[in-house]
Amino acid sequence: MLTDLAEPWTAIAAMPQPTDRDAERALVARAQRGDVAAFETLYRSNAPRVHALALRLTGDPREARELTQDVFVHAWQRLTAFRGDAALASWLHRITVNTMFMRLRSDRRRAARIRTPSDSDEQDEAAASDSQQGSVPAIDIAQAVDLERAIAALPPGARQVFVLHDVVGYRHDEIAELTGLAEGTLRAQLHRARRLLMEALER
Amino acid sequence: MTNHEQHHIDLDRLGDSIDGRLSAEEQREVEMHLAICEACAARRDRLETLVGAARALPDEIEPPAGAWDDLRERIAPRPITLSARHWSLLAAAAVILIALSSGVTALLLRRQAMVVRPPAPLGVANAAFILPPVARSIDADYAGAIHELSETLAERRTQLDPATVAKVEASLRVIDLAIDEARRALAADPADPTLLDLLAGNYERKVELLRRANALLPST
Repeated sequence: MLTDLAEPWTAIAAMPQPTDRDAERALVARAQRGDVAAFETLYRSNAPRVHALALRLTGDPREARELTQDVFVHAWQRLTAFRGDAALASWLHRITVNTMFMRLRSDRRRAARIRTPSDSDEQDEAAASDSQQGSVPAIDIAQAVDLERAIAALPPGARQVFVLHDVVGYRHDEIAELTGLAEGTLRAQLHRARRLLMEALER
Repeated sequence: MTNHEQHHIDLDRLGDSIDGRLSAEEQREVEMHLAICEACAARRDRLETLVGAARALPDEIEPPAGAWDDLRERIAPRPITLSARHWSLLAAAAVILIALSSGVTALLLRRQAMVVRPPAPLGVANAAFILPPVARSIDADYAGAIHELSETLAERRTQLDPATVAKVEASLRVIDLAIDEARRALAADPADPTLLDLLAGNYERKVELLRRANALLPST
């Protein structure tokens, strides 16, 4: 069950301290009664984390903005179900990942109506081929911007698995539950993402 | 040249090694090779550096300016346009509203206590169909609140009026039917946002009904 997922490290880092937690509970209670101002406060304190995850999962600023918006619309609509057992950040984190993969499945169905199945494979192979040039010095980790760009340039499947595993901190079995991918498939996607990133960053 | 030097370790295996996904024996073999192969040890170091850099990326990135204003408009009540396929589900929602207004509201006005048994699963709800993860997530979101509220009412059922309980239970059955219909529709069309909203909305109504029923219990 999704509710059994361990907290990824980014969500743990986002958990408020006890006094903050009380304030958060009070804001959630007000928002549950329809108080938009309280919801705005919750939005402003949580949106940067949701947007960071959305940006990395989608690799596209416009899509990330839409995804972030969808997450908070769903949160507003389903807020009465949030009981405060976990931090709001963890709850929003799960909505973000679920919404992302719901959209992805919808996009795939739309794409399948107008493209042959091999098209996406060819695109992925082209992206992989593009990044298989050169291999020089070690990774410069000070260049986080380069890493963000390289992550954004990954093929979608590899990028999503890499973000969930290496950036967010989900385990393989948790990602399999979230994405519906077989563990062998997501393991292959993770290895592929790492290989492509090392090649891209070593250029 | 030893066996360990003969073949370099591929990157996937190095990845499994740093992820702790190898058996103790496999891990030992990898470590032995890395001890004598500078090229593989350097690749392992670069891989670890990459993974460490990914984990160190900033947790927060500010959304674009104006994002809240756009969101504010989306969460404001507004009319929606539905396709014909949603009308049957809307009909179920309408029945719920009728049940709630004629049953629960009347109970509130009379200020009488009521009893609600924990909602028994409907037979139709147990039929096998595969729900998408997002729908299961919605189920999970509301399961705790529904269980908690239902348990409280069940424990104190003897304090309440059986006639009013019957009305509430009838409303719960209608809501459960609507939830079941939405879940079945989602099994066929997992990414339909309107169906997801309908499912969440039906759960909202169930939680609200149970909350209002709980509010009618005499103070302890």
